[in-house]
Amino acid sequence: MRRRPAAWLPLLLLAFAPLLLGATPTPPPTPVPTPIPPSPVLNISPTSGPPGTKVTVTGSNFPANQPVPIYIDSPERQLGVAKSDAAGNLAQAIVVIPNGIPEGSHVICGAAGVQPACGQFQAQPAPTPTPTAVPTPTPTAVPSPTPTETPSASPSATPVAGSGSSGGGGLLGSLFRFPFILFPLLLLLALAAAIFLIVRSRRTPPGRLPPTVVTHRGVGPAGNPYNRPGTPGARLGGTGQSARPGSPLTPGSELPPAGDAAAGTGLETASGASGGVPPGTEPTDAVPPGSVPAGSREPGSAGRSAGPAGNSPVPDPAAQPPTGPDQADLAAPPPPPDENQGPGRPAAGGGGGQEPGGPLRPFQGDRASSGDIWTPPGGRRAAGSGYDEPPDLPEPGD
Amino acid sequence: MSSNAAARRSQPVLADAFAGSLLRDAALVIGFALMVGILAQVVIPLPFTPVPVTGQTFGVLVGGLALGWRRALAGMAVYALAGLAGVPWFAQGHGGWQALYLPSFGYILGFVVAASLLGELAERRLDRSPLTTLAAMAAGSVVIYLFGVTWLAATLHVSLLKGIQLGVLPFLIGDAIKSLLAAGLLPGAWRLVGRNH
Repeated sequence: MRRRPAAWLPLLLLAFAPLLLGATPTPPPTPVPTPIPPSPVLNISPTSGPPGTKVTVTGSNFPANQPVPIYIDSPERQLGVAKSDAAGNLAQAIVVIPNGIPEGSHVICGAAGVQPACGQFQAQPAPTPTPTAVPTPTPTAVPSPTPTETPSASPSATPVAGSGSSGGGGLLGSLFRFPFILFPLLLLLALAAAIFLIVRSRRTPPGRLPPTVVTHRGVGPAGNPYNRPGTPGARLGGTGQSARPGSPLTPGSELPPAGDAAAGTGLETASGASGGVPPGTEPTDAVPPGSVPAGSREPGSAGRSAGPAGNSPVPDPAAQPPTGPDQADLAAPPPPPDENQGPGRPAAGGGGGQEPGGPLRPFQGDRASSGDIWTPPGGRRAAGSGYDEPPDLPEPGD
Repeated sequence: MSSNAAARRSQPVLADAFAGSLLRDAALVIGFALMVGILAQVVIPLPFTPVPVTGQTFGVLVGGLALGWRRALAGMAVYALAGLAGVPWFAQGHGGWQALYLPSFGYILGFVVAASLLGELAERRLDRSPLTTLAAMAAGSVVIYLFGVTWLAATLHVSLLKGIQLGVLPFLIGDAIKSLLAAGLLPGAWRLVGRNH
């Protein structure tokens, strides 16, 4: 599938980027080839205090211009990130001993080399708020927190902010140096690709139609396999089947696809787009005459058209022999133009040449070529034999 | 031809059992990121290792299996990007651009890939039986460790072996428990939903 690589591409890049990162231990910043680099040294001050103590961290012999994460006891318990200068010295970074740290000996480390440099820190119990509890802890605990905090108070308040803004380029510079910027961009790319694919998967492909069940509304004999409802590709050929004039359908020929066949050829989809008349039902019984669409039934036939309503919008006269005088009229040559009819008036116009009070005259134009169907004025049609009900004709002078 | 093969291969996942559309997808994506962020705060520190145990891995892998690869990828990308933007929902309340310097950020990148991988495996019906779910969980864990250990070793400048000691070995038992839990949870959920999908 074509859309998968587009989405997996950022993931693949994401997958290989850390490997590349891990494969390059310390490539660029080694202009001076020192065979054995001196081990980094980390100094902390003060070396003891309760949780909340601000500790100043300095160091040297670190890789130049590198972010140095400062953590306590384990890399996961990170306190902040310092940044080494061009000489590998660690500028003063201030970290805060976190609350909840147990009393005892801890190590504060900076990890920017092969081995992290660490310094010992003795955590003392937190000072209790009540003054009566002073005798229980060690007496040195009380004076130590406040005096040591004040001298070490520097403009860089929080360790993270100080480390992030240290260095000329600041945050942007570090983002563009390290492959760090690569990962947010890849994440953005992955997110965009995922959203795009989710939205795209919600849309139906344009060339694919939902499956439809085609029901053939034929009036053929029961058991005719061609008239079974829901048989795709059913063939015409049963009794009462008719083909649309001009269509390539002939008795025994294959039906067009469902999308074409549902367009008024007597085939209905499962959604009931063309009616709801059960197969084999005479449609004139179920559909009111006024609601029969024009062209669905042939006027002048003896109440028995070649197919049900909607089955043959324009029956083929050649395929069906005339069954009555009306049909004979259909086959007769057209009469001379009526005097009431204007010169440019089409012969198929509804009521155009109708004489008031006279008998209904069926359409006499070129039906096959025009594709038009005669309808009486007012849209009413005769049911049954075709002319049981005289249509409402316009009054003279209308 | 290829689209037919893809359509045949892409099976519904658990999230598809619920009716809805784009709004549901958006809710699932945001909810997935939120769930992982909450599980990240469930921290069990281990005294013998620097990396604590969190509930993230379980949430990521099970969420990937339940959501499918597109929603899982989107959810984890939202999680990582929102965390980098400042939402403090990484482990132990970390968040912001500084998290890129965390030695554990590789695990977060691994979450993105692993969740997508497991979503893809779920769309191949590997979450329908306990055994295949176990295999999928193992594959997802391997992906997470691949990212996590590599990043850990690179940022701490320690060897890969040391990184494995710090970031893999202490968690294998916990991963086995999580995988067993997922192997019972997901096929059970499918039985509840019904296997007609």
